[in-house]
Amino acid sequence: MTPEEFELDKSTNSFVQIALFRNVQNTKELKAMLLSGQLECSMINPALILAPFQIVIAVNKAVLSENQKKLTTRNVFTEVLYNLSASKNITQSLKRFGINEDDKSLVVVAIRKNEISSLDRVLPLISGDQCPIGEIKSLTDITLIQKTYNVKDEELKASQLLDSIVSRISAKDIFTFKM
Amino acid sequence: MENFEGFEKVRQGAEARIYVGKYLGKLTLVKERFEKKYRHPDLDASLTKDRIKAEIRAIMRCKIAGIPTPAIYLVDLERRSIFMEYIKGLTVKEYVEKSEAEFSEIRVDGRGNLNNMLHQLGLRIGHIVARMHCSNIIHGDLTSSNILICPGNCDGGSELEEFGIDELMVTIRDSLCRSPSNQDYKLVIIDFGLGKTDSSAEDKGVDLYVLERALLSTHPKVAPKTLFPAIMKGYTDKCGKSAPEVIAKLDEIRMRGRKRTMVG
Ligand SMILES: Nc1ncnc2c1ncn2[C@@H]1O[C@H](COP(=O)(O)OP(=O)(O)O)[C@@H](O)[C@H]1O
Ligand SMILES: [Mg+2]
Repeated sequence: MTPEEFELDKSTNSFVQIALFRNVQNTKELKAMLLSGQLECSMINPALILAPFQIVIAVNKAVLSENQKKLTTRNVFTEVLYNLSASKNITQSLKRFGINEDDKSLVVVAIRKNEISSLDRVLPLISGDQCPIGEIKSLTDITLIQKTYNVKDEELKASQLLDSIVSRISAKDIFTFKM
Repeated sequence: MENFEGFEKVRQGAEARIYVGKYLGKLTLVKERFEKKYRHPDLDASLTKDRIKAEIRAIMRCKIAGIPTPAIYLVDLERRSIFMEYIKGLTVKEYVEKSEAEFSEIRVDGRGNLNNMLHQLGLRIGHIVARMHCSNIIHGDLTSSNILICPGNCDGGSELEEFGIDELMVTIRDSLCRSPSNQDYKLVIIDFGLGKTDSSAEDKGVDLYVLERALLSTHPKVAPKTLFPAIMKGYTDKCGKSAPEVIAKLDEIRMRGRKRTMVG
């Protein structure tokens, strides 16, 4: 199965690739490899993802920050996890949006620039079933998302949840959200 | 412009250039606050950043309070730009002007006339300004160009060509004529560069005064008797206890304004 690909800001010449896995057997091993910097990708907890657009917004911001030499975290892949969160607490953001040792499903995010992507090296290392990204809906935990991003019902009278989330991702350097 | 490949410039105002295009798969509007050559570059850069930050803060404060504002896709201080959701609608200015023109030719069926329709619109604008003020958000530049009106289902879609202005006019007018509390259309507030998120009764009075002056000069035929009185009614209805203090301030500010013009 080919991963979903979305074009990022044209000035970056980059694309984001997103793949969804279920029934993953070696999450513990993957997490260790991520932590030791062996995997050039982000691995995200799908419960906190409402739609691929949420990831696209966070990755786009991360790649632009990298190009502008303004990364807040170690590298572009940790930056994606940090960006996804509305909080400025780095440790907490990485923990929440990253994967846990006993997770069975995960979203893999890589960046392709020109014809070069790290995804080809990552995918074979995952023992699990790759599924269409559309299936993410069945793994999304709306209640947890609303709680994590602190979106109250009052706000949802005038805004779609996805719009509220992406706006928080885009605004978090400027606006301090109550968490 | 070279920074915004894939975008088309649609407008240039006094402070910002507006581009529209597809970005990350969505129809997107870029508001770029361009350099002012007459300012010292450092001062210019810091003023621009402050404006962008003020705009983002007010947009987010409104959103959290349940007041419709565009979704934010990217804030790029380096490119002095905000990338935001493009709202498929009209400015209230365009809507009122077109309505005035149309109603002078035909009476749009028995359910309503121009005044009636503008009264309903005014009430809704009043409600929304009241809700901003209740959350202590000051817009700073309320005009009929800074309020967009669109059908209630205007979310989604990524192409600019999918809708025509005439169709929009009909949809919006129908829902305005049908019933006062109708949710078939919505008002979206934009252009918060002069926004403030802490405020006094004086600030709120000034906000209303700016709106009144703008409407009187942009819509001289309908603002004095119909549109602005309806806005004040809507404002008072929604604002509750704090309305009298703000309205007293508004009267005070009007007096000052009048004295100033009399003196010259
Ligand atoms: N999010 C948006 N969706 C659709 N149209 C918009 C949006 N933002 C701005 N516009 C249009 O662009 C015009 C100028 O934008 P605005 O933010 O008011 O900047 P300015 O400071 O130049 O007035 C608005 O009057 C409106 O017609
Ligand atoms: Mg404007």
